Amino acid sequence: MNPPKATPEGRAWRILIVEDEPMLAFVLEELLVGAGYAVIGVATRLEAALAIITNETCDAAILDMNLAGVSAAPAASALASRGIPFLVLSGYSIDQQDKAFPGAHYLQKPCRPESLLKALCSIRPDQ
Amino acid sequence: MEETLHAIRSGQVDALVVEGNDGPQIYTLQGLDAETNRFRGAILDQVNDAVIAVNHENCIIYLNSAAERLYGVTISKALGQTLPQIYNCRWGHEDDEAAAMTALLERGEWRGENVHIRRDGIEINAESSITVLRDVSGQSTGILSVIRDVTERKCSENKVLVSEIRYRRLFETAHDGVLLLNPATREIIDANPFMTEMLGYSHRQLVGKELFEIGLLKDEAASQEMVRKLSRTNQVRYDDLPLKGTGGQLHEVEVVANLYDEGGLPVIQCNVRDITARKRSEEQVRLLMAEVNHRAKNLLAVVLAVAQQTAKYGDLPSYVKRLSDRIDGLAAGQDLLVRNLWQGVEVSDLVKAQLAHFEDLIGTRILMHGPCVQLTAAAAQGVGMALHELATNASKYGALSNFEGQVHISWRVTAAAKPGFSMSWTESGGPRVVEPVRKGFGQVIIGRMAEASVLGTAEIRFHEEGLSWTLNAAAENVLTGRNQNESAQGDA
Amino acid sequence: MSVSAHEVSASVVAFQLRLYVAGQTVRSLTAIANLQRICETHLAGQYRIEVIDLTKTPQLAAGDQILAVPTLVRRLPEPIKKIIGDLSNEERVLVGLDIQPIRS
Repeated sequence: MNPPKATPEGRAWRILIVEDEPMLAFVLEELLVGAGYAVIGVATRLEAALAIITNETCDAAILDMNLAGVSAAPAASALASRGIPFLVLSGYSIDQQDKAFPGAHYLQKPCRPESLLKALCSIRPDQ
Repeated sequence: MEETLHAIRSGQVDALVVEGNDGPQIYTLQGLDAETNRFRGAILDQVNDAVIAVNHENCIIYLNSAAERLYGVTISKALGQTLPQIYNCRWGHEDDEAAAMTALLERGEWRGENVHIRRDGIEINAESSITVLRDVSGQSTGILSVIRDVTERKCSENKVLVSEIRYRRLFETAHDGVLLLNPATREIIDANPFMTEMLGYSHRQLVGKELFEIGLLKDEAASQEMVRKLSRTNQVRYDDLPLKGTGGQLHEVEVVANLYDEGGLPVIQCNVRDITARKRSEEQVRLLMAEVNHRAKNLLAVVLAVAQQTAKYGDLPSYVKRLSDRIDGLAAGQDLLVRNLWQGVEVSDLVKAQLAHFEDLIGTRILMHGPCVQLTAAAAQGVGMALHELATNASKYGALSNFEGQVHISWRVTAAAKPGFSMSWTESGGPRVVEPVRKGFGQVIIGRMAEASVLGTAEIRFHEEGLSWTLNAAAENVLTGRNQNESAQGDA
Repeated sequence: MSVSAHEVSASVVAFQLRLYVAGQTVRSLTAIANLQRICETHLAGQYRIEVIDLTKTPQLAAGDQILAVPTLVRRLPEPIKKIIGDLSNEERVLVGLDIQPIRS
């Protein structure tokens, strides 16, 4: 996977990771950094995710649908209302998906790194 | 002839015409002259009913062949005997006998039912018509009984009664609601107790209502449609109808309506099954399956991540061994969580599970100390993986790689306004420790991964006498609700 | 032998009734009284009653094949109909004779 081109302002794309499983968050972060993205935060809980969305500037996000038993839907709404594109990672099968993520781009766990990077590329605002 | 007999039996007639050699002769039924008796004998022998006449001393002076058959006697033996020598009476109610006597005395006749018990014990349900016999002067000379055997009728009446009781009981105790409707008016004509309880309507409130009026169908048109369908197919079935009781409680019901014929009259029977509980449990199973799927996929994602990271940091020949070790650790943690219904894991159990390879050393070279507290599922996974890495490392390079080194594992809950949870792994007596030049994946696991799982901090120190690892976090992020306030300390 | 309630000739009346009795027995007397009352109520002017006492003329029983007494026979209108008993059940009598009851 080629490193992503920089934003129009000439900096790296800033990505928020919302994932309650530390191992997966770590691997995601490694993957994104390795691919040339900047990870501006890793949130393992909904409150932390909302705080980052509110206070930081991010260009895209990767959301785990279920954060320690709590739906990540409010984070999805917060992102959508700011026009920030995001991917939803989920262990649920398609028919079990939460209806609270209208129009979201879903990725099934476990997910191959190249699929994830490709999907992230496809939702970037410069695409 | 039947009509004539009926008239005689019911006392409508008091004279009879008999064709004799000299033309018709008239016999009045008053008095007991020889002619009358002869005539009676001729007529009464043809009758299916038993006829017995007794004199004023209660001795039998006449009985017909039907009476012989009914009571199992012969005329020759019976004549002259008293009635109790032929049969005894049993009355339905104790007052019945007195009432019969009174009727005979006052009106000269009695009709009614009782049981005749023959000498051989056989019981006969008898419908008797008894008349006082009088002579020409009006003096009582005895009584005449016409007895019909109604045992068979009684039996079938009794069978009907038993059947009625049996099916009534089914109706009353059924755990399905049952409604009976009149197809012409579509109104409820009966409802069983289960139905009234389900809805909270009384029986009286239900009777006369249509199904849509109790919310079972949505409107009158639906009611009409049901009856129309029933008349074509005899059965209509509805799954998942919402049904609201008077108290507002919502039931999901399944309704099967059948059209039956009850002795020429059509009736609709609706069986209403409350499937609320079944639906709820189906929903729970569905949610549970979704959760299982979610967790399994999550775990596979973790395994994939561990595999990638393990490959990144180490050499290829030891890859399978290193990956297997880590998967073992994940599996051990998974077992514990499932055993505790995903509610949390006792710290000492977690330590024992992750150090299962060193079971023999626990209590001698591996010492544990800490209170009995439970970690949340998320914390248990992160801490468990860290303990697994620490043990693997100790057995390769640290205190468990020789014969005398020791590991102290301790944990405590600090008593403060905001209680904290602290855990430490301290090695001693192993080979001299040198800080590794390059950080491996193991360090990531005991470092930032452990930190993330408890939302706390982890510290690793490479002292010469041994490695030490400490983890600190707010108790509320790590421990399950039931033991956050526990401060008792003790050996685990 | 015959008692006619009204001076109407047999050829004109619609109902020709014959009541067989046995002397002065209770049922016989009751039957005569009941019949007269019923006829006056429902058939006024349209009936003739003959009362036949079989204790005096038993041979008359043969003509209408009488077995039990009292028995009422409707001779006219045809077909012939019989009612056995003392006629105390008015409704049964009316049905037996095919008479539409007159309601007051």
